[in-house]
Amino acid sequence: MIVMGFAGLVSGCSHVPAYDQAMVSKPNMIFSESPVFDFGSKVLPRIEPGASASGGAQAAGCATCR
Amino acid sequence: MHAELKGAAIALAWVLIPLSLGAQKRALGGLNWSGVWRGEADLETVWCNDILLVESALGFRQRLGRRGLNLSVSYGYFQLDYAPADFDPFGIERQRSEDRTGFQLGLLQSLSKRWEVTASGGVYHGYTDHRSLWLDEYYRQQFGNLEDYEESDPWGYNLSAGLRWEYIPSSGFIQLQALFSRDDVAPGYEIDFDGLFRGTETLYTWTGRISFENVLTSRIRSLNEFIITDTTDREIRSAYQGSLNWALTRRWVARAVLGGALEKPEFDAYYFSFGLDFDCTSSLLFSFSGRYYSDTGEIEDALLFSSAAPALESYQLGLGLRWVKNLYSFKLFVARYFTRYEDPGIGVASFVNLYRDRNWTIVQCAFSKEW
Repeated sequence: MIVMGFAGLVSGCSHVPAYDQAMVSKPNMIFSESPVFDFGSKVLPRIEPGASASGGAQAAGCATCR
Repeated sequence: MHAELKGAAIALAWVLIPLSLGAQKRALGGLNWSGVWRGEADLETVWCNDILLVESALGFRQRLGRRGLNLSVSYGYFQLDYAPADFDPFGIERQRSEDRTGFQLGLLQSLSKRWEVTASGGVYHGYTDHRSLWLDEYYRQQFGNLEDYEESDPWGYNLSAGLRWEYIPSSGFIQLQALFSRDDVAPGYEIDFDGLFRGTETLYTWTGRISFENVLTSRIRSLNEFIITDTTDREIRSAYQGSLNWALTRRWVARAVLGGALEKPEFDAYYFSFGLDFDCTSSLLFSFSGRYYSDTGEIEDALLFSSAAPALESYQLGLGLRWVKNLYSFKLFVARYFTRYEDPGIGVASFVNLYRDRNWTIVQCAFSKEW
């Protein structure tokens, strides 16, 4: 419930026009899958079982996640 | 070769390989492909005094009008110094190393200005983590001489399909994704008066994911992901991850992630991380980050023999830099990582050296170039 409430709070329905998105369009503001622009680890989810999205073994990675 | 030296050698190789990408693009030029190409190479090395873990990948991305194509080839390497429990009469110390190769293909098609569909598939061969390699060595030493024992040969594949809807122009996105994977893993073994029994070898996993990405203000972008996973012989796992990026000023960006997972009967986990980026110049960025993780462990009965992991707490502190110039980008990230397990109890005593507190070093480097 808390998580759902938090998610709803931060998702919002606000519209920010494209001309006002210069700061949120910087490379480090985008949720990029590119390894250059993401400091996340591929190894740690295999040490931490609760950080892995999948319950099964893991493959080469999601190629189409945005 | 010593583990650290081997890690450094692999790192050097994967930094040099991208330099040949330009030649590959010229070789494919005859196919008359156009649009924006991006070549990427990344390497992550994580090690402590008895374990070395390496993950690396080469990827190509292309956007061609309404279509997109992603290709990636991955390589993982694991090396560990297996150490049996003191009371194990069959166990011997042994260095073991294995690797894994994988291939993934992803396609994207725009249906209209606001709708996109995605599809992907991949296959891999080899061990996926050091824990499965450790357990395989344990069972090999215990039962390898018995007739019913079989050498493991892990492999798997995955298929996924997704839909992305820009429900608020340039500000709100919803993405749905369904994923199926089949994994042949290194199984466990049990022995009784009827003989040796091989555990479940093939796991089927169905995953559903819905994510919401929003530009909340001219300075804040958020991503909320909800994931449901159903795996053979496991209860359903539900997970959530929320991410928030906040441009404090034109040069400073704060990043935060909060996530967790629940799985019956008693497993739950949560984690959070933060990061602070500083644009030193127009092309150089420095980053400081930290992370905390905690779970309740996967042990259901501490008195029964089990290879399940006990409760874990981990901490990470890291420093990174990113350099972006023209069409080239480079990232270097270094961190210290600490894992602390709860006393595993008598049921997991055989794996006391697997679930031991460790202090790790993490080094990531990545390179990309666009054409």
